[in-house]
Amino acid sequence: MIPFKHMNPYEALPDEAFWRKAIAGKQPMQVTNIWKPKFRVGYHHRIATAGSCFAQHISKALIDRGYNWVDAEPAPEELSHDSKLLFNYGVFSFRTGNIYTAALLKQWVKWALEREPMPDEVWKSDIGRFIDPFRPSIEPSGFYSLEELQASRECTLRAIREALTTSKYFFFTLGLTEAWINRKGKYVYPMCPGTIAGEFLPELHQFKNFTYRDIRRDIMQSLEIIKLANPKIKFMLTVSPVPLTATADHKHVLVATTYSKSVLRAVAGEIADESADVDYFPSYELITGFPFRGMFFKENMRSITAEGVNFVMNSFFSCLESIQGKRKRKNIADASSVTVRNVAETLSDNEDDIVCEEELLSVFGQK
Amino acid sequence: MKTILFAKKSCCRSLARSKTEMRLVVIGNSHLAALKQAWDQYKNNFSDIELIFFGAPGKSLSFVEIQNGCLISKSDKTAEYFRFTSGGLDKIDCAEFDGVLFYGKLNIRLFATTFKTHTLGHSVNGNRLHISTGCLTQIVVDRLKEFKWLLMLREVTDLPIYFVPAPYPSRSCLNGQDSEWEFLKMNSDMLKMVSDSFINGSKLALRKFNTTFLPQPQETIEDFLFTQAHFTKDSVGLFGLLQDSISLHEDTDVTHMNMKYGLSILASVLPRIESEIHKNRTAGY
Repeated sequence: MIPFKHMNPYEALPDEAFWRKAIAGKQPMQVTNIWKPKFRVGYHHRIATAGSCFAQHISKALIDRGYNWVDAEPAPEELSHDSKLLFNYGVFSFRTGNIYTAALLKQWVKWALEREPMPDEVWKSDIGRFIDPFRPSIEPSGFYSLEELQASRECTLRAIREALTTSKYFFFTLGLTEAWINRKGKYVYPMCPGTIAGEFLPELHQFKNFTYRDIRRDIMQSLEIIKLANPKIKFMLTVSPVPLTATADHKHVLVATTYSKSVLRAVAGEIADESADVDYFPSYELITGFPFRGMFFKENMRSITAEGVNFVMNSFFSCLESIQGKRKRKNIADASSVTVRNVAETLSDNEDDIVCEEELLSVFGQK
Repeated sequence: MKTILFAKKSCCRSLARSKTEMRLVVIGNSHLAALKQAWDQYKNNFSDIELIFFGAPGKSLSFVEIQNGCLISKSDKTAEYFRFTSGGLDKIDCAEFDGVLFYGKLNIRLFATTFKTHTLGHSVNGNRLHISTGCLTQIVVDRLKEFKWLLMLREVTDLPIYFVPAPYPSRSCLNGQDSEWEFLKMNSDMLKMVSDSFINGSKLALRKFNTTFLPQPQETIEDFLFTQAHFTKDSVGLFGLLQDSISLHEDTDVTHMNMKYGLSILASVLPRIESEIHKNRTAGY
C-alpha cells in the first residue's frame, strides 16, 4: 500500500499566489485577479462613495458602467458640467468635498448620523464671503451669508444621512494620515487653515500625523455608527495611490508618503480581514506596486494617468465579474428612489475633472 | 395672441444713411413689440438716434448664421420675420450701425427648473435641496456663456453691444395655471436674492462678450422680480403691430408688455447708449 502523502499548503494555491506566475511571467498590464471580492455588487444596489481625490475616479467609473451610484445631493440641472465640478456636485454622494482622513470621516458621520452639533467656526474671505472650514472649496467664492452657509451644511448633512442609511455599499478611499486640528475644539480640518482659506493661528491650529491606532479607531467607529443607522450596509475600503502634495511632519515628503500610505494600507487591510462586512480593493497596489514601474504616474510622479485609472477600474470590475459573472444591467430608473439621481452627464477622463484641494498645497513650495 | 396677420414684402431694401447721429440695430424676440410700438410713437423724442429692428419670435430668432460678415437668417420664416420687422432688410450688416441693442432673450424663467428641485431658503425642508446664491448666479453665467447670438455678433463686429433681458412677469403670473412661475412664490428676501443672482450672473457672463447688461428699469418693477401690472395691459404682438393692424396679446399674458413699458426701456437705455458711444467716439475708439 502506498502511504498517503499530504500536499503541502503551497501545492493547492492558485497562480495568483506565486510571484513568478502572477507577476514575473507577465507584462504589467496582464496582471489580473488582483482581488477576490467578498460581495456581489449588482447594478441595482445603491452605492455611496466618499474619500480622497482618487475616490472620485470610483464614482465616475461606477456611473460610466451603469451602477447605481447614489447622488444624494444632486446639482441643479441647468448647471454646466464644469460648473457642477466647480461647486463640487456629483463628485461624491454628498457635497463634503474630499474627506482625506479617517478622523474627518468620523466627524462627518457623527455630525450627520448622531446629530452631534457641528462647531460654529466659520471663516470670512477677503471679499467678506463666508467660508465653511469643513468644506473650504465647496463654494468657489464663498457663501453670501452665514445663514446660507448653515443651510448648505444642513443640506449636506441630510444628504449624508440619506446616502448612508439607504445604500447597500459605502466605498471609502483613505487618503492621508496628516491633518490639522483645532486645539480647543479637538476637531479636525480637511485642509490646513490659511491654505485654501481662513487664517493659520499657531496657538489654535495643531498639526497631527495620525497613527495606526488612531486611524483604526476612527475607521472602526465610523463604520459602527453607519452600521447602527443601516445594519445591512457593507463597506469597501481603498487607499489612494496619490502621494502627499506636501508634508508638515518635518520629514522628506517621500518618507512621509511611505508612512502615510503604509499605515492606511495596513489599517484598511486588517479591518477588511477581520470583518465580513468590509472589503479592501487594492487600487493602491495596482498603481504604486513596483511591478508597474511607476508607469501610471505622470511626469510629476504624483498625478495618476488616465491609463492608470482605467487599469485600476477595469481590474475592479473584472474581479467583480469573476465571482458574479457579467450581469445584465438593470434599468436604474426603475430601481431608484426619490432621491437617487443618476448622473446622466458623466465625468470625463480629464484630470481636470478631479477636484483635489490638497494639490493646492504645492503652491506653498514654490518660494 | 388674438390675431396675427402677415403681409408679404417681397423686395429687400438697402440701408441708406440718414442724417441721424447714431444708428442702432435692435435685435430681439416677441418682446421687441413693446419697443417698436414705443419707438414708432415717440421716435421724435430721440431725434439723434435711428433704430432698425430685427425681430423673430421664440426659437426662430436662433436660425441665423454668418455670411460674408453679415448675419443672415437660415430659414425662410426667420428671413420673413426680419424683413417684416426691419422694413425690408434681410441681413444685419454691422458696418451700417454704431451699436447693437439685444433685447428680450434672457428670461428670469430660466430658474424655473432649478427651483423645482432646489431652494434658496435658509431652512432646508421637504425634498428640495439648498442652492447657494453663488450657484444660482453661475446658472445664469452658464446660460449666457455660449449664447450663439453674442458669439456671432462678436465674430463680425467690435461695436458696443447692450443687452436688455425680457421683462419680469407681472405678479398675476402667480394666479395662473402656468406652473413655470411657481418658483416666484417666495418672500421678498428670496426674491431679492434671485434678482441679484440674475443681474450679477448676467453682468459676469456678458463681460466675456464685452457686452453691457442693462437691467430692467427700477420704475417698472415691484417686489424685485415683478413688472408692475399696468404694463401688461394692451400689449401687442410683434407682427400685428407691423401691419397697421394691431393684435393684442391675451389678457392673461403676464410676460409681454405694452408701449408704455417700451417707452420706459427706451428712455432708460437710449440716453446711456448714446452717451457711451459718443464718449467712445471722442476717445477715438
